Order: sequence, then structure tokens, then C-alpha cells
Amino acid sequence: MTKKILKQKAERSEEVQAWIDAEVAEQIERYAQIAQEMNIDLTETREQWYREFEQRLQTTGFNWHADNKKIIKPEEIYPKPDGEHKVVY
Amino acid sequence: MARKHIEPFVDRDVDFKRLELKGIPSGYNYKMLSIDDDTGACTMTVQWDAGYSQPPSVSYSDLEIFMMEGEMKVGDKVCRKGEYFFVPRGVSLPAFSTEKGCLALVMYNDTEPEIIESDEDMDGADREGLLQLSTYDEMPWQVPTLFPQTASGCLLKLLRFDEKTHAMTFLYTMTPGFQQDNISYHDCAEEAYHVWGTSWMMQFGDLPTGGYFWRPAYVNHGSFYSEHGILGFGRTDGELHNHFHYNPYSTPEENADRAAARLIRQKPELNKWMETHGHNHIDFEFPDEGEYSTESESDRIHSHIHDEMHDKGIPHKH
Repeated sequence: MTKKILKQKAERSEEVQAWIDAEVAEQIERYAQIAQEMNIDLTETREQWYREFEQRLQTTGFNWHADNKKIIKPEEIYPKPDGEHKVVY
Repeated sequence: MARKHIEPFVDRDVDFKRLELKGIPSGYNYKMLSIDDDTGACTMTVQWDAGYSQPPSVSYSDLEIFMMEGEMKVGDKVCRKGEYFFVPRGVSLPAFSTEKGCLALVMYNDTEPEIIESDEDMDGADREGLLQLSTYDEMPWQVPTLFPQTASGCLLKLLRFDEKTHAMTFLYTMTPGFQQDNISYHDCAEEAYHVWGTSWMMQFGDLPTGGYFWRPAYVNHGSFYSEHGILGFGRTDGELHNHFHYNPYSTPEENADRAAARLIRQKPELNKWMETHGHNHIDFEFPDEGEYSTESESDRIHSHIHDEMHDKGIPHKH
């Protein structure tokens, strides 16, 4: 029923569309900055965090449910694949 | 919802702007946290100036408000930090005002922000869906009951649960020293704001007070750590299932494939039924919604990942 209310909304005014366009443009800029920082600038530090994570997986274990843990064998550690690695999409 | 993956963003890093749209009273300041480029739906940190006053109003959008600082008089009630509102679209919100100013998270879920003066509900509005909760004072922390579950030290207050979509709004806390050594992803988009405290995630580093993210479905996050603990406000747009694993290099497409394989393994009969063509799939729970088809389900499920893969040129299979 309430979706019908949404369908009754009048077409956007030029003022509102301009506001949305400006905010979306700002968000695109922000996204580009975040992608640069996360996907490129932080790479070296994050790789070190991954190595430390892998160490913990093999010593204190992987939380598979709540505080239940499983020790991961060295051969079960995922190798770093070739190519670009991203964390922001 | 078409919002970009914003993670991390700290609202302390930007200044407030005046919201100057028709119908918005003066004294309404905002920081945009994320916005849907199609609908204008958005999440904002809002600072209402001292003396701000707003008439009784409706909007065409579901609206959520979470008070973080200061006092706001809503109708006859003085609301303080921790007050949460869910206002269904078309439901009239009483006049509100603030003598000394206040700070809140404000979420318009369907449209751009709008304030249409009215003390009456629109026809068909879901007044029973209106929520007003004093979350700090009147709600206990709960241990989540999901499987698989987060590690001990992560607690929830469930503020809203959508019975149709299983979307949730919640407060969450990590107690000091919280640590969880796994990587998680979900079948839904997830959004969160740190009201207080800093936590660390292996992909993104520290998220401090004022930190925010809008994360599409199937994106890896974790492992997790918080030295001094955090208080956060979170939302999902669908069921929050924890897909835990330990491959930091998996992509959203691979994660979605794994989630689909799990669904097929764990609910084979349901999968077969959903794939059956020529059937009219009736929604018996919500008959007003009419029939649904595999196509419309597909649209819904893929909206967070598949369309974005096209938009962003991420290689994937059909």
C-alpha cells in the first residue's frame, strides 16, 4: 500500500535535480579519493596486515562461528593472485 | 539502491552545509554521507541550529532519525540522544523544535530530503509502522543469534526489522579488546556510522568516531579489532547473513558465486522451485504485492552487485 504513496510523488523540480546532481558529483569525487587511498596508497601496509592475519590463522585460528576457532594449515592459506587487488568497488 | 562504495569516510573531515531546498526551514545543516544517484535517497549527519523549528510534516520517503547530541522537542516529548524514529512514508511527524540545537543521523530511504507541511497522514500511510524508541535508556544489549555468529564482545540493539525484506536497523557495540579473525561479506548492502570509538578492519584500517561506510553486497571486510570499543549505528537493506572465510583476495563476484553455491547446497528444493519457469510465484505472505517472477527476484538480488559490475566495468560472467 505504501509504495503507492511513493508513486504519487510529483516529478522533481529543477531545484531538487540540481541539488542531487551537485551531491552526486561530490560523491563521485569522494569515491575517487577513497579508491585511491584504499586501493593504491594503503596497499603495502595492508599486505603486511594480511601476512599478520595469516600468522594468526595458523596459530590462534580462524573464527568460523562466534569464538569457535579452527587452526588453518599452511597449505590452506590463499596465495596472493597475480594482478590488481581491490578492496573498494 | 545505487550508492557508491563509500568506505571509509569520516564526517569530521568536512564542514556542514546549509540545506536550502523548498520547504526546508532555515537552520538545517548537513554533511552528506552517501546518496543514491537515481532516487536522491541519502544518509546525512544533520546539525539543527539553536531555535530551529519545523512544522508537522510528511514526506514521500521512509525516514529514519537517530539523535546523537542535544535535545529536540517532538510533539510534546523532549527527545535526547539515543532517540530513534522510523517514520513510514506518508505518516505525519509532529512539529519539532530545538532550543539549543542538536545533532542527528537522518536517512531518507526513498527520495531526496523533503518536508511537506501537513498534520495529516497521506491516504494509505502505514501509521502502525511508526517507531519511536529511547534506545539508550529503555533497550538492553542483546547477544546476536545468527549462525555463524560474530565473536563474543559484539552486541546489538535491534531497532527495526523489515518483515518483508529482513532489512535491519540496529545499534551495535564492540567491547574493549574485541577481536575477530575472519573475513566477512553479506548478501545485502551494509551501512554504519561510529557514534563513538575506533575499530579496525584489515582492508580499510581505522574507523574513528564520526566514521561511516556504505558497503555494497559481497564486499570483503574483516578481520576486526577494537582496542577501546565502539558504539555504532548500522543498517542493512536485506538479511544479514555472515559469510565467513579467510581469503583476503576474493572478489565480490567470487563471493557472490560462493553465496549462490551455498544457497543451492543448503536449500536445493527452493533453488529448483525458483528456477522453475512457467510458474506464477505467488507471495502468500504479502498478497498485496501480487505475483513475483524469477526475473523480478533476480532484479532485486542483483541490484547491488550485478548492475554495479556493469557500471564500473568489473569483469564477470553471465
